[in-house]
Amino acid sequence: MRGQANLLALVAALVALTTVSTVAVVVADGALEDATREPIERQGANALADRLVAADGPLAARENVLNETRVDDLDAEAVRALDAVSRDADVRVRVDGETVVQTGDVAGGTTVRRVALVVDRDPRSVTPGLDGRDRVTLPRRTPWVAVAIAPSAGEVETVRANGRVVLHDPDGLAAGEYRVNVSRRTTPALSFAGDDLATGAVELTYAPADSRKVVLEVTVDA
Amino acid sequence: MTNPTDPTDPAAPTAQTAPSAPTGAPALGRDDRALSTVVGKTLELGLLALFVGLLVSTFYGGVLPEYRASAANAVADRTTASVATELEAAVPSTGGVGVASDDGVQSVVVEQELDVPRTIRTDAYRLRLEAGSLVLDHPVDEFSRRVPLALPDSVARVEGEARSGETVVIVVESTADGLVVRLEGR
Repeated sequence: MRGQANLLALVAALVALTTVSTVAVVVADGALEDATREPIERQGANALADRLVAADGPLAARENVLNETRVDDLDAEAVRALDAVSRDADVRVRVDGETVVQTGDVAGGTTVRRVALVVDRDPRSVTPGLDGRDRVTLPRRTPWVAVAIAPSAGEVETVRANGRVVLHDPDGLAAGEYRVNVSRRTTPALSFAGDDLATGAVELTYAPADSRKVVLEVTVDA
Repeated sequence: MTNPTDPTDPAAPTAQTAPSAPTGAPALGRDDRALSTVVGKTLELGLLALFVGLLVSTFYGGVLPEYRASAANAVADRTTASVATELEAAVPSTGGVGVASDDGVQSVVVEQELDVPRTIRTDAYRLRLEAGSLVLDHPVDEFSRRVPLALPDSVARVEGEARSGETVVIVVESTADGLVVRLEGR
């Protein structure tokens, strides 16, 4: 073998080549592993979060505004009914860090977050004093006002909200409750016209919104 | 290469190449020196052929198909996810825009082209909408996918299918029953 010195060189070269290809394969393996995401899981989580805050979603009062009662009533069945993720995926919905719904055992998974407003409308009643004046300005904005007209005290002919006639009967409005939609962007000022109006002739119920900002977190573990 | 002063060197190939003719050994011993390079090159050639064969069989036998499969899996996942996202985004929100959804005045026509890979692992595939789900139908079952679509209640049904080579278009139309989401290939 004295004459085969370059055979050794060749073997050395081949060993080097093998090493390089092995390293290349390992690096490629790592790159492939690094590039592995869960796109379907993420898509499901995004879709579910979007449905939850959508204007026509099960929770929303309007876009990105959630109704607190509906948030409290949300259950696994309702989340499943949205059909946003496959049946065997586990889902957790959190509002401000507090788990509202969880199906199965969520470990890890993909989380998406949405900023939303949770609104709680708590109806309040007020009996405006109508002795010597005919206007009342409600303290808070509200989308609607329920005007309850008592059968006894006086006769209400016209009710105006911010100058616009919302209820009118020249013979006097019949006793009962009338629901009036008002702009929720201005403070409603109601004025009453009629005969012998006194305090207690009308009772107003309105629903001011108590809102808080929350982070809606949806985690999907497929 | 060969050292002429070394007596053992010419003797080694002689003993191998002509063991049956010991009488001609001294004569061949001198002429034999040229064989050393031939043997050397042949060995090198054999070694290289072995190496290349080993490398090719390793790569094509295991590493490459595995990589192609995992890449195809990832592409199938991403294609399905992006088509589903586009489908969900293509449906307009008809709630809470000031018009009641049942009075029949809203007419919606959406057409949106999608960019999808032509092939997944060199095979053409189909995208299909059925029963509220998006189905990616690949000849190899391992790369087929099905994801549910979260669509608003205003969507009455989803239908249609497209092949991967075509221009894939999402069409959303108003009908009497509600919105219809369709996949079309053009």
